[in-house]
Amino acid sequence: MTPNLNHSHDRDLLERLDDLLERGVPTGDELLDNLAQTIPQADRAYRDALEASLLTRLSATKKTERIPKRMTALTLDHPIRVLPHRRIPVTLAAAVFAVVLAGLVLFAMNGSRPPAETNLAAPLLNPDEQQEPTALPPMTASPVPLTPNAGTVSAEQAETLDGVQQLTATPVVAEVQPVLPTSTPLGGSEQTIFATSVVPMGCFPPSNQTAMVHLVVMGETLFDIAQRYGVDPEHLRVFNCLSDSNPLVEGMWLMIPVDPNGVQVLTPTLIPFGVPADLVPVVVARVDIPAGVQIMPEMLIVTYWPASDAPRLTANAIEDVTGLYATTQIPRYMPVILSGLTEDGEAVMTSPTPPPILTATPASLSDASATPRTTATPAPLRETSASPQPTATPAGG
Amino acid sequence: MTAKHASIGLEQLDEQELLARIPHEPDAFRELYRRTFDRVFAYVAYRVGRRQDAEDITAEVFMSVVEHLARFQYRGEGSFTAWLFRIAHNAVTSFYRRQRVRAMPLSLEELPDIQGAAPLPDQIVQQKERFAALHTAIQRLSPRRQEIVTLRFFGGLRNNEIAVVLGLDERTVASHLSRALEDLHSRLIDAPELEVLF
Repeated sequence: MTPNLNHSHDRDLLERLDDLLERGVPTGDELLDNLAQTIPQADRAYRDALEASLLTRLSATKKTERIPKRMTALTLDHPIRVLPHRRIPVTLAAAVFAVVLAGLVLFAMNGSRPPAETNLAAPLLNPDEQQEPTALPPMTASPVPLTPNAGTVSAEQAETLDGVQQLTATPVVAEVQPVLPTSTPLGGSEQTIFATSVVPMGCFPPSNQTAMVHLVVMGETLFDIAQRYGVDPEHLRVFNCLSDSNPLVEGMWLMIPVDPNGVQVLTPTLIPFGVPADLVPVVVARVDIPAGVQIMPEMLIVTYWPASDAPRLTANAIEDVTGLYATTQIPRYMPVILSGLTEDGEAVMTSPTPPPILTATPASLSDASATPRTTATPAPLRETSASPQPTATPAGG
Repeated sequence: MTAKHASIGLEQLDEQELLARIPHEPDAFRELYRRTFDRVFAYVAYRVGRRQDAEDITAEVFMSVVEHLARFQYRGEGSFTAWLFRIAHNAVTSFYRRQRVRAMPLSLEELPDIQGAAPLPDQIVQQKERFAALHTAIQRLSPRRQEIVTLRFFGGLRNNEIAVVLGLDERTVASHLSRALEDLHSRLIDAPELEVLF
């Protein structure tokens, strides 16, 4: 029993310890006996509550394992169009792919406008599509290239957590311009992308990620939540743009990154036990969207909620609300309520309480193409999280 | 088979048989939980001191067990216990990493109850003071010895199981344990404020 020890004293001590712990024989040694008499004991109610919780979790885990695809295929910006259990025949899929490929080839040969590739920048507009400045919200005037250093994020950068982290470290609000220069060569190497609406800057979750929502309740820590979902706390922090100025607080909605191939364990705050539940898509704000701002796809995320818990009158698809204007501020990760949107942007802008977000920076629109790296006018998106930088970071800096 | 009969049957099963039944019989997990809960809680409570922290970490440990149970592979007697306490050990380590402060003063209200608590309030207080003194003394040991002493006394692990949890040789564990107890003896003698409690 007792391994080889060099000193008989050691053997004697350990043998007495074995007697004490395994047979309950007091050793006569004050220290050992006191140690054995001060064993902590949990509250019975706590033990029973934890037991019930564990059994429920065990049951939920088993059920979740059977439906991993449906619960986890919630890609940001890409709502599910086809339920995973609907199998498309391989031949049909191949035929569709061939048709799409042929269409793309024809499209390219005809020299049509290139498809908008970036998720976070505003859609590219065809130079032929000239718009009247008067038709646009008169909130901004300075065309700003959406370069990372100007405070926004490219699609490539957004793919990586590093990009997000970098943005977290230097939150900047980009000034935006709803009007396009007519002579900007789109698709060329010198291409400059212009936003057509306000893009609140700061931190974005990486695109092409899969996520679920979690409501933070009192007493929860980032570590607890990360542990519960089996994700790295640091990853969770970066993914949700949490920082000293944006701490975790009760009532906050967190995005939980999900491994599309993994199994997601659900919690009562997200999905009631007893899944599968009927899930409905709910469009939520990916960033704080101030009042008066035109809604763009890059500001939104589609999340899936249990039908019984989903807020009513919310948008179910990003397309349904793209281009509309927010009449009131939509906080980050809050559902987009249809009644809080309007098609009349000018009416919003001329309302008695104009949004205090952006400062107009008059600039020559005609110079936009000549000076594609016009300096952005940084302005704090939220007064509580004002950018520490007095001026925008120069591009390339 | 009634639930009562099933329960009686489960009590007689060993760890391996219980683990095999868990996928289709939740009561098997309940039985395993009841067998191990007190030891895990006692170990965690002695490591962290505060009841609230101990409860949080214990819940974290068992939640982790539930989530990863499907991946656990039984490798002989004691392997589940070793795996369980490995999780608990990691959770405590992680807790201290987050806390960044290892030793914090404890108030009596924050301390956990003690097994076999005396009926009189004065005796309960005395027990808790004794617990606090020993907890403080153990915290002054090296981290490795703290781990070994608490796993042995409060986790109820044998030396060979501790060796698996900590990735050490069994003889090394025995040696550390012996030295740790000697250290504790000497420290308690050198610290009158602790000795007076005995």
